[in-house]
Amino acid sequence: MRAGPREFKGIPASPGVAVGKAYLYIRGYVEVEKKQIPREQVESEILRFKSAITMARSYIKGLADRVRSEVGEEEAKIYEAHLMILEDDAAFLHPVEVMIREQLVNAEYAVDVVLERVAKLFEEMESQYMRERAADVRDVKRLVITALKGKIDEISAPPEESVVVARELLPSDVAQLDKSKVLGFATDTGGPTSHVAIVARTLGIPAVVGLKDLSVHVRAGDIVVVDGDQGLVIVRPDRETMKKYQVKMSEKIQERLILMKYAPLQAVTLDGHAVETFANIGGMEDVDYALKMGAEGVGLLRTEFMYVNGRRFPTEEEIYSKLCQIAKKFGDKPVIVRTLDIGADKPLPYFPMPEEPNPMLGWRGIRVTLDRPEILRTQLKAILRTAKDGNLWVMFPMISTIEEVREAKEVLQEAASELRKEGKEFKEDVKVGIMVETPSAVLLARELAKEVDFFSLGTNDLTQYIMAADRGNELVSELYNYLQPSVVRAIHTVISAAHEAGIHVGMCGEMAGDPRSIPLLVGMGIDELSMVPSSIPRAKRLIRSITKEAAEKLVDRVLSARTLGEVIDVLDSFTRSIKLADD
Amino acid sequence: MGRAEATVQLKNKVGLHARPASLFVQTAKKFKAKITVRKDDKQADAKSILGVLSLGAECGHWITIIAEGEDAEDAVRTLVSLVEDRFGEAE
Repeated sequence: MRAGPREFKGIPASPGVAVGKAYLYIRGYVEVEKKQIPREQVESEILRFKSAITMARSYIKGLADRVRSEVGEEEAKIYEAHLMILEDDAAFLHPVEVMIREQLVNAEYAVDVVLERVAKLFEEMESQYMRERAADVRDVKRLVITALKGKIDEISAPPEESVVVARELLPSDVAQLDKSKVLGFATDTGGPTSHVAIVARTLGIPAVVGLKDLSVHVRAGDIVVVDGDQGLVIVRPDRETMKKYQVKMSEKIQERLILMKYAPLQAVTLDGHAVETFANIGGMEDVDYALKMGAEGVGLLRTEFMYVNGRRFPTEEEIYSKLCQIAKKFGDKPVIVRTLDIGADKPLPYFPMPEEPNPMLGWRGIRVTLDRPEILRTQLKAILRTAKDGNLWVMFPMISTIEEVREAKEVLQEAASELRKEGKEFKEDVKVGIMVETPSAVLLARELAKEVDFFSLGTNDLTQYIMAADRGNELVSELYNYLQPSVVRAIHTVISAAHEAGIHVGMCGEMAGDPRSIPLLVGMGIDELSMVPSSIPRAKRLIRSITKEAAEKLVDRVLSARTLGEVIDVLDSFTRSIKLADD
Repeated sequence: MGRAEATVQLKNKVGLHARPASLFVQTAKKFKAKITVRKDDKQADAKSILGVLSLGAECGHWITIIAEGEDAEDAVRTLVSLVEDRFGEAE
């Protein structure tokens, strides 16, 4: 029996609405590599295989228990089949052992070969039932291979065009998903700046996060409505609700079409003040979309995508070739490249980070790359070489002291002198800047401005550090708000300090794309706003609808506001007074 | 060392699939004997779910159960009656 409609309230993470079939995304896809092992390692390899089986069994048992208590006995039965496969000596365990022993291969490979053979056999059989069992076999295969890596998350299958429902989506999960097939996201965990939220906004995909136990109540194939404006998810909606949302979905598409007229236009206020509108991008996949949305440059190129998918640090050549691809697309337009920004909360698979009680206040960003300068140097060499053919700027993340800037610049000099020695072509005088995202950098803004060519305000971390409120923690989401008077004042301080020193100041945090904050930032005199590509047309239209003069007056009113509520009231009343351009 | 063999027709709806297949394998595992199931030219270890499923034995098909070992007779008798009882399914 199908259950009736159900509503879930979460946190709106990316605007828009979507209606579609649910795809329950469960984590854990892994690649398998064939490796030869020495003969003396055979026994330990078999032992490793056996303990992976034990791990997989207890995982499946746990999953079955959870499903039994939360969903029902019938649904839990599928896991019995999984367990039986894990215990299947004749067709699975024994052949894998034999293969490891005789062919001297790694367990992952043996598991892959043995179970894939079974899956193929099942697929070729006549009955629909047997073809479906092939999927079970592959699920088990994936589970065991994941267990061999030492840790099980979940089992995943490739998505179709659907609404992705998940307990949690880690950056690696999001990376693996084919986003062109995703109509909407709905996750149990996460806040407005969790990775999935950022990606969803970048691509203009509606998303709701922090839905607590949603994933337990959704079955694969259920129709799901994601209302990213209200932070609402409706599972198995009735006909009327579904229709209402389908209409809304097409209205949104209509609105999009109107906004698209603004993509190629410049963001100039009615009284002639231009603001550069740039895009934040996290990989090659965002580039064409950003240009289509009218990006005049890249205000934040996250470089982590070049690092997360490999088994080792990328070489200078590898980084160079990826940067070149991006730089080529943007021509003369500035591309601000942020150097590698990793931390315990976003580690690399091949670079273990120490367990930290407080990763957000720990070894991250420039702190890591200054301690391991060879990582930074390699990246900087690639950036300097690419800058020969593109307008690349270098930006260092997580700066809190003058010394850090100076040390980073020294590494840049080393990179240049190595390139010189190696006889490689590169650009000598790239622009060097920093992310301003720590309270310390705000308080030192005047001094820092003398050390660099530009600032970029990273409001996501800046808000978190000024408010001492974890950006992923739903319990403090009220504190975590860039419209808090203290955050707004900090931003004003930084913009003023930059202009006193005559340097460029931009912003690449969430705030830069928020229509409510844009007039304020324009009034403060921000030179450049860098946002998720999907927000650019709206931002351009907004800037073309206001005057710099009125925005400056708005700044005074906002700076005298004492509470979050007062700031919001002032901004909202300004927003209401705007008559949107219609050119 | 005992040896026993019996041929029996599948009369339950889904044949040697799904729940019946699991039951069949779980029952076979209770015995020490080596048990083989044969259908036409295919054969499989009766204690292997993947093997039993891959026989593709449907309703109406005949299967042969062969057991070798001290409890071979007991094993064949039990498995045959499981099949003949239609795996306890109410149909």
